[in-house]
Amino acid sequence: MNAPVLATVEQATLATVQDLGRAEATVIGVPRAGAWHRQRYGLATALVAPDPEPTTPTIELLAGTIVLRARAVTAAAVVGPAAVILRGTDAPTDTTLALAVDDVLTVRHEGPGPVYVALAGWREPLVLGSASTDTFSRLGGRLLAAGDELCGHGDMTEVGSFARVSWARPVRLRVIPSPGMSAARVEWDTGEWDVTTTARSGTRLGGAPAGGDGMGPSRPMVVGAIQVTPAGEGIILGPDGGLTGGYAVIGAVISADLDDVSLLAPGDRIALAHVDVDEAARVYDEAERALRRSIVRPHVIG
Amino acid sequence: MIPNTHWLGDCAVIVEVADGDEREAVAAALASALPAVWVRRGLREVLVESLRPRSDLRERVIEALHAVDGSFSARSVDAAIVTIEVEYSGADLADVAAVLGVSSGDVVRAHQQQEWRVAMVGFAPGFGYLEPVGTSALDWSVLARRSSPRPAVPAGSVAVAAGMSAVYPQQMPGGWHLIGSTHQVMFDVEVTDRPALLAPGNRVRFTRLGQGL
Repeated sequence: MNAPVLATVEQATLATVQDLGRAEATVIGVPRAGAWHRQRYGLATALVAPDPEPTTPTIELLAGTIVLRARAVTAAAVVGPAAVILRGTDAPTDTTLALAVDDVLTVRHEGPGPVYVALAGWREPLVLGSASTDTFSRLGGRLLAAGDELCGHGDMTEVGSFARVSWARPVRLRVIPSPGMSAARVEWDTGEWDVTTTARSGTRLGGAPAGGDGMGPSRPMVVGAIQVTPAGEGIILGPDGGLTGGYAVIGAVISADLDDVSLLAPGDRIALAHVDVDEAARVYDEAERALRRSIVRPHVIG
Repeated sequence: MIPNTHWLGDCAVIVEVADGDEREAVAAALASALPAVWVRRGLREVLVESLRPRSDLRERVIEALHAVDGSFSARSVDAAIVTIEVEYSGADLADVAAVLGVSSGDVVRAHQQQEWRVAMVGFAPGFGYLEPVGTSALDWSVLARRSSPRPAVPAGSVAVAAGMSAVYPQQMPGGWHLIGSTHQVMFDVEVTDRPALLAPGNRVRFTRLGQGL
């Protein structure tokens, strides 16, 4: 890539490049990947570009800290629960921040869930149509490390800020139930689950009774599908999850609640609530309209 | 009669099919009838997925199924043939022969004589589940998966299990029986027009390395 360097990475832990992923590649067996919390991703890119593309890259920070040093005049935005320090003083999230050459931007993850850092003008090479890092297939994107360069043609786009929303951990996920019955089905549908591990490939749930069918013929899966093993372990597939699976499927998390899955941490307790597709489509459209309304332009904190 | 359908989440509809032939016909019909959706396959299911929730997706799938009802088997599908050269020296070849009650040579011959079809893709990028089509010299369905999976199966391993065959595109965990290996690259993002060698519906033939068809 011949574009000028916009910023260099001085320090990074668990920070990957993510955009909206490679949905078209799912038909050839490649996971969608892409931002785990798509609403935060969308806000971050909207704050640094008037008309972001699905391939506009961001840094997805799942833990720890990332430190960037600006190498050109540009703008940055941080979305999600994080402590932000710019030029040695506290700076807000959810706002476009002006960066001058040699400005140091430090973003410390606080959680819950991923934090996104967008940079005006930043572009990344695409693999199968996306800049996203598939952590499971080890395909595309990159895990950022000290010394890495973020390149592009920076500009000061002055795109504003947005009304902050709460990022409370969910206690309930709305689900479209899939057909199929087993002895423990009622308890899986109506009981509580413990979150045991979380990863971009899948979030594992425990604490439910055993009783799932054994491994059946491999079936196509979607992001958000909830598989249950014979031992009663639940797995909510994430963006880097496999596209096929053989365990019983009790349903799939609705699109409007998928971002909430990225907020879960081990030790959380979660219940499932059944809704129908009409309701799921309605709340998704509503959330999308609310997201567009929440951006206020123009307003830059320098 | 059209196949059963149900939702998988709010963006996808599953169509249940009876066998591989119906799956290929239904997948081809839905891909041509429904623009702006992705059509994927399971062994006995076809999945239609949209990018965002669409409460009319299932109705549209059912309408498309009605439109082609009765002509499923007559539709042409992508029958491109992919040939893969194999060195038959897998660690489990003798075990496979013992389970099937034949010699290792019989397994190798039957694997080459068998016509295989890519039923589905997706365990890992480039991983195709190959199902036998036409006549079979051996009953591949007798073979279960290994009782304990290997933590790391080498890239290029040619394997059989659960009535199917496959090539491991990269080093990864796996529970299938290894009967050989190939140098064929199964997945390469640099091949921009076809990163995955195997596409659903393709026919596959295995040949012994250096002997051609």
